[in-house]
Amino acid sequence: PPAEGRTLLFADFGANRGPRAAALQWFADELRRRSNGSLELRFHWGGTLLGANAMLQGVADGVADLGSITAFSWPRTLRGYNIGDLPIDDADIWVGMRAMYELATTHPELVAEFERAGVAYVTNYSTGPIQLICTRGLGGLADLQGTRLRGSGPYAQILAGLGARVQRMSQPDVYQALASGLLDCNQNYYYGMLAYRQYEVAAHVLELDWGQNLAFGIVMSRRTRASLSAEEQRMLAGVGSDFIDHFAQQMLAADAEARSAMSAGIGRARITVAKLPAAEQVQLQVAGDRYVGRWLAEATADGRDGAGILAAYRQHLAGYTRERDAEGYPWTR
Amino acid sequence: MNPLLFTGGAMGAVLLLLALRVPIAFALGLGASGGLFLYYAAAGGGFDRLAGLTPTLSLLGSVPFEFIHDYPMSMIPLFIGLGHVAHHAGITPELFHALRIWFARVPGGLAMASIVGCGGFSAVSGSSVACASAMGRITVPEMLRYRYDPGLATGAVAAGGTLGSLIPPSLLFVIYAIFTEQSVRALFLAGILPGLLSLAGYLLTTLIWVKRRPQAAPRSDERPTRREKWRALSGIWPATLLFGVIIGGIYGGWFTPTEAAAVSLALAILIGLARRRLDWHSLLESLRETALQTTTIFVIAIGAKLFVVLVSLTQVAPLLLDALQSAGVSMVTVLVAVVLLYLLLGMFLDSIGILVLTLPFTVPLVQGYGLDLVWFGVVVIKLLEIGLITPPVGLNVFVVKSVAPASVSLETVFRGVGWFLILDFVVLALILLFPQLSLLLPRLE
Amino acid sequence: MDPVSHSRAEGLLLLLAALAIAVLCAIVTLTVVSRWFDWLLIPDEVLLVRELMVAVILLPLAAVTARRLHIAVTLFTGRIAGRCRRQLARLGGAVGLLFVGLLLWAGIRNLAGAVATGEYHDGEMQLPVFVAQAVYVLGLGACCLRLVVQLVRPEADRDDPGPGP
Ligand code: NA
Ligand code: NA
Repeated sequence: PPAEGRTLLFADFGANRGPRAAALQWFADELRRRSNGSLELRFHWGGTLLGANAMLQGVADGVADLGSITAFSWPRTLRGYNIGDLPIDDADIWVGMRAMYELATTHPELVAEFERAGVAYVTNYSTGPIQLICTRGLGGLADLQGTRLRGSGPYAQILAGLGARVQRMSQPDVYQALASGLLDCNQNYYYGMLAYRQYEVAAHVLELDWGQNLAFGIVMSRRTRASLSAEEQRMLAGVGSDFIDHFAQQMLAADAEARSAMSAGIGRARITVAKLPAAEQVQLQVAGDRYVGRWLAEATADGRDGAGILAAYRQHLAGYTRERDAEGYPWTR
Repeated sequence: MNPLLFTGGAMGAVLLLLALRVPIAFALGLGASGGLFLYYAAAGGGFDRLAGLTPTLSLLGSVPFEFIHDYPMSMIPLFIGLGHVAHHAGITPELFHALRIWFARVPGGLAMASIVGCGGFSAVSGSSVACASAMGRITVPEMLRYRYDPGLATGAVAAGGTLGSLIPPSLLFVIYAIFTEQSVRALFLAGILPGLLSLAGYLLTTLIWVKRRPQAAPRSDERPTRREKWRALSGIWPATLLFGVIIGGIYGGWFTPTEAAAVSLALAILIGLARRRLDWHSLLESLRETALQTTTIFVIAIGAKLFVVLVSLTQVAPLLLDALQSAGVSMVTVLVAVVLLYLLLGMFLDSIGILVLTLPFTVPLVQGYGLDLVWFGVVVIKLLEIGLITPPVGLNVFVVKSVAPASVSLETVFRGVGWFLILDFVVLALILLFPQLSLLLPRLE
Repeated sequence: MDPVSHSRAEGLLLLLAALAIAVLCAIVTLTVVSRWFDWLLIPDEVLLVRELMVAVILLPLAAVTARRLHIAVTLFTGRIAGRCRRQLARLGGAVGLLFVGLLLWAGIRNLAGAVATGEYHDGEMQLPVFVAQAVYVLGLGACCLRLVVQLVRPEADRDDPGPGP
């Protein structure tokens, strides 16, 4: 491979803004710095090259060298990796991301899964913990009864089980729906509420601090990977691992910043935050177990070692929780 | 090799094929496919056919499929269907019977009524193309029946349809808001006055056209009595009801714009069946027409979408802006350059594609000069609306052409739209020169 | 009726697309109505609409081609008639066949992948991905056949419908 500047194409379905885009720029800068300029990234944002549903096949086919994937688009192909979207007790961004990264890079079934799909796993993202933003104040789970709520994934199904009338809608449509009264509540993350300006039309947040979507990461074309030197591959793995710490730190900051900015008020809009009582948080976790069970059955039906993957994931979660409790986050050490 | 060559070459090939009467969809699609293949084949430095084939096939498989496999896109067949069903069910003929009687004494009255109708439709539709197709289907055959100049009849609707994205609700404003982190509500409010100004401009164009060439819009020699007028008015209740349901539904919080499209189509079918103006045969016929027309529009859009991918891949937008920036100096120069860039891209590409491609580069530039992003949003949306009616790829013109009788050629529609385009540039200049036009309403809030 | 018509098979595909629009409209309308009454009638409503969109847009493609409804720029060739005009029509058909043929190839590739992986759409119905891919391939395949017929037997249908500009 040539030593002087090789440019890799990176496809992303999202817009070039917000904490994730900034972290990707960091990823590109680190790659350039550590390779002495031999590896550059060129981003194609907003799905102009590959949309979310075309990403896995597109990267495998070499349309882009790298790309961001949301694994719920491939429930069977990426069955093992999809464990990251289950409502498992992993609400800490750093702990969840570290556990997921370790699982995806070391568990043989997940490694094989990516290989069969024609890609190699690089690193992980996280959406951060889920909150509810509503047009009226909710005190707890009992108040969900009858609320018209936009949600997604197993989280929405659990909320529906608690009496919410769940609607599917894309995040950009939510603003108008909240403004017109079509929706009472929206499942979102703090920085997402800020980015989509939902605080302008809904003034109440119920802080669930619940789960996070972790089946969400970066993959690379296997062909591109094979064309890199062993040294470059090692360096890429290093940047991927460091990306976890960097991204977690940025996300924690972005969420806290968004929360305090919206609470303090932006223009005339200002939110009030109510915390979900601890007992009810446990209730949410228990309700989530059903979906973990369903995933386990489906994984087994697909011939995967579902129980083994789940046990390994829980073990990683416990390990990183201990590490955080003992030493704090890496950037505070 | 310079990646600009791939896009330039593909664009030249497309223009050549277009001139040789190759259908627009096929010319755009094959041009884009060729450009993509060459780009990937040359990506490794040399020329590797196999390395070119797999990514090209991958994109040809995913881009068109993902484009149509989309929920909000269903608004387009639904609003096209609404137009066809309303026509077969006698709902729009009755509406125009009433307008014809009430506007009997006004020169160019039907064209004006069509433009005002487009303005009304824009308040219930988030998409300009849906607007042009629904209103075109309703008004063009009526105007031709009254021996209007085909250019005026189709031009008025193609231009009037562009109000769809300026007058809220508007899909384009929502996308812009997210990219630039501006308030959706502020952008919606900002679009209202420029939208009304455009509407007034189109009415003025019609007036001037008819004054200069009275035969373009033959005056009716009817002298309707007051009683006839009121009777005609009683026939417009189905149209008014549909309108009320869409407006009330969206702003009253009953449903989203996509749902409004479906509910209004279902309601039009029920009204037609209940009044026995629509039977199963004519219903099926209108759905067939809807399917044919939807497909005709979408194949072109698919070709344009593939071209957007090529443009994005070859970095044309940032390279052009880079060149402008390094040579450019004053704010006015940059603004003129940006306007020209959007006009140029608008000639070939679809609105959402342009937004997604350009905003990452134009917004920082505009922000760097300290300009208001809400105002700039209105400027960009107006430019995208203009792109819908400029040749060679003017989606609204194609839509109106596809609903007009076969005897109306594409050139006739482009010629008709030309006059409205002149006023569009006047309105664009006013929006650029007087930011208060856009910012007055958002600041009142 | 149009001067150039479509075959019975193409007419059937068009009919299916027309019915798909009706079903799509019914699904969205029922969802709105059921929301007022607090039922949840239709699972995976958004996905069903997306799947139906593939039928709505791809199934009429052969009929559109047969009826020569594809929009072209006639500005520079309006005065040309006879043999030369027929050659231009064949060029248009050949370019169409190349492009639609490439789309078909890509579609078959995706269909084969969807069948091989058994992938499905996340949701209550777990609808297999290959269904919409098969409809997509069917629409493109029918269009390719029509383009081949138009190229091989140009006399089978008239070369240009309607008066020129
Ligand atoms: Na609108
Ligand atoms: Na244009």
